[in-house]
Amino acid sequence: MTLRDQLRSKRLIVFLGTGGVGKTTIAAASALEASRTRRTLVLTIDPAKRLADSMGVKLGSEIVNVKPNLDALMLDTKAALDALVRRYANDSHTVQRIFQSRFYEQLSDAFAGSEEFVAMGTLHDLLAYGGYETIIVDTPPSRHAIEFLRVNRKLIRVYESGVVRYLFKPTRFLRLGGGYMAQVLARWTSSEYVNELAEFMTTFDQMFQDMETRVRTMDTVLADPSRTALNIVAAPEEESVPQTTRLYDEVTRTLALPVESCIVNRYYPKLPHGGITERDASALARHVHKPQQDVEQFLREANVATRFYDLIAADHEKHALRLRANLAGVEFLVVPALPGSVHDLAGLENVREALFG
Amino acid sequence: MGAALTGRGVAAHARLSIILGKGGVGRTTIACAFAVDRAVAGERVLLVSIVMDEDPTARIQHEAAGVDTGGRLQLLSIDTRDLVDDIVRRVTRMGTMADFIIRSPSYESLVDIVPGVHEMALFHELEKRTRGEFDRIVLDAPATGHGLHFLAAPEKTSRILAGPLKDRAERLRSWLQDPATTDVVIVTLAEEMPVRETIELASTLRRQGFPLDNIVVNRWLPRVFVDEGPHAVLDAVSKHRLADPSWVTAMRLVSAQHSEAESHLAELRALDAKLAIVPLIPDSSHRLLKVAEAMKDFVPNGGSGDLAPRSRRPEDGSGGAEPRREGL
Repeated sequence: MTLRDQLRSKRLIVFLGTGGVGKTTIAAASALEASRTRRTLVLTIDPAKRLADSMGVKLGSEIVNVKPNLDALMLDTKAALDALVRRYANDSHTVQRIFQSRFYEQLSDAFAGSEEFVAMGTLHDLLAYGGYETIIVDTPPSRHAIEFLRVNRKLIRVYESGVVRYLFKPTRFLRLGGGYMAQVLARWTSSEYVNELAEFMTTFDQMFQDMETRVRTMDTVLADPSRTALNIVAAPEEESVPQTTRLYDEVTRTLALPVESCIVNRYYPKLPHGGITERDASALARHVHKPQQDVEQFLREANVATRFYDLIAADHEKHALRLRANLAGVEFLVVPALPGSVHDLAGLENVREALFG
Repeated sequence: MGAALTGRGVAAHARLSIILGKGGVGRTTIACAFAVDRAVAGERVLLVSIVMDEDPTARIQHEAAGVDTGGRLQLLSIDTRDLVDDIVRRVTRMGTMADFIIRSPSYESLVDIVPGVHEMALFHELEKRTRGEFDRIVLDAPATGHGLHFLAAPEKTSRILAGPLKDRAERLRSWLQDPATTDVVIVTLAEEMPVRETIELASTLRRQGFPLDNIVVNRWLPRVFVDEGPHAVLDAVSKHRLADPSWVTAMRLVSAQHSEAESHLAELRALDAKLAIVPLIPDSSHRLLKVAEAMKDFVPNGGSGDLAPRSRRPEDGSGGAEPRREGL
């Protein structure tokens, strides 16, 4: 389904892509388009505050109204996780234990997927209770993006495996696999570490139990093509091709989810032949009423710039073609590069125009 | 030169050059160019990449086609997960029982939850390989994650480990922080986000004691239509419709990109690091050598800043094939 049609019919539109391809801009421009007909929220889970920048609106962890029919949320996953812990932990003692743990302090290192876990919980609540017809999600850069889609399954599995009990409270049958591992850990690491890890896992395990329903719901929503559409944003650049292809393969093969469209952003279209019509310096100087030496410098620079532009344009064409070949059957949208960076609503409006005409 | 490579009694060990950079800045290109150049210069080089990131083999075949590295360049792709599994097998000393652990879902969760375990396994492996047949190991560092998190892993893990593993982590940390053994290079583009991240990374790395003084600014564009004169002519050409409008837009794109790059370059200069500016070079069979040429006054080697290929030095009768032995 084309991106334009998705914006009119899907509840959840997700943009995936590697870092630095302008995913946030594309998500925001799509949100502008969607908000013309539907009540729309654009959610970014990218830790860089790029959405806030491109919206020209300072955002925090609160939902901000950008214009009529359009809200934006730049999710502060750390604050949202604090809130979740408070909500799901059994008692205030548990809350304190978690907050004081060194694992919590460096949670994104310590517990892979924690940001995605929080994002997924937030997204669930926004879909269920936010009152939006369309939610557009700008995911973190690619490997994280795949984590975002996979986090539900992973968490369900961790929870089902009963990791904590298995590792640290071995039963008679699991003594070899579980108890032994805890012993090995205790031998090679400091004992405070093992105790802290066990405690942290125990309290988080309780949170997982409570989160399970939401997590399972989101898994169903993401895998339901009548409600959700996934799109990939790519740069027409060398590194982007293998990274984007791998992302596409992971999503379509490993997760077996469909990808609807690929947006090739900041594309340098090939120049028509010709360029400047008057190449003779003195003739051009007379035409434009400028000093001859300025015109000569201009012509020299025009030659250099044209050569470099052609170089980039040729590369872009080649990489875009490779992307097209690798992501067969997906809608391709090409957004030409615009001079200057997009840093306000007017700039976003130009991107929207380029995307949707 | 020899002193830089062999310095401080580590003559038998390979230097480690860590090439950091976010996805999309051309980190792999720079790592490949550096590795090829060093091999051409006579060093025996191991270029290490991480499985899941780009495999440099095809790139070197295409972009350094016909370049004679004298068989001195080897490529190695590492899956850190395999390394972790191997270490677990050895540490637990459980034989086939270890496979039972490794295949269990709890194991995966456990490996994910211990901070820095993948990085530690990688550094452990690289450090072992410095005592092999190489003069230099070039690491095309993982694209994901913050470069700092990557390099700080031994320090972080040493805080939670005990016994011999703790000692090992501490030794790895000193190895990574010693300018006599390790170079850290950040590759960036002169664009807003990459530069902001580079500045942050560079200052944190320095604060934590890493030898950082090398930054490569990749894909540099020429300075055009910046001066008042040519700028005004472009405006006039556009106004009088003396050129195709799409051509004028193209010129403004290149000009804007350069001007933005200039301002970001100024920010990078304030870091007081060795900067190499690599122009945008088209994809061709000679690209890697051209990239290396652009970095020639810069190369990280802990001292002399000399990238001039040794084999081209007339006085070097051996063709510089055995630089590691120069200090012996």
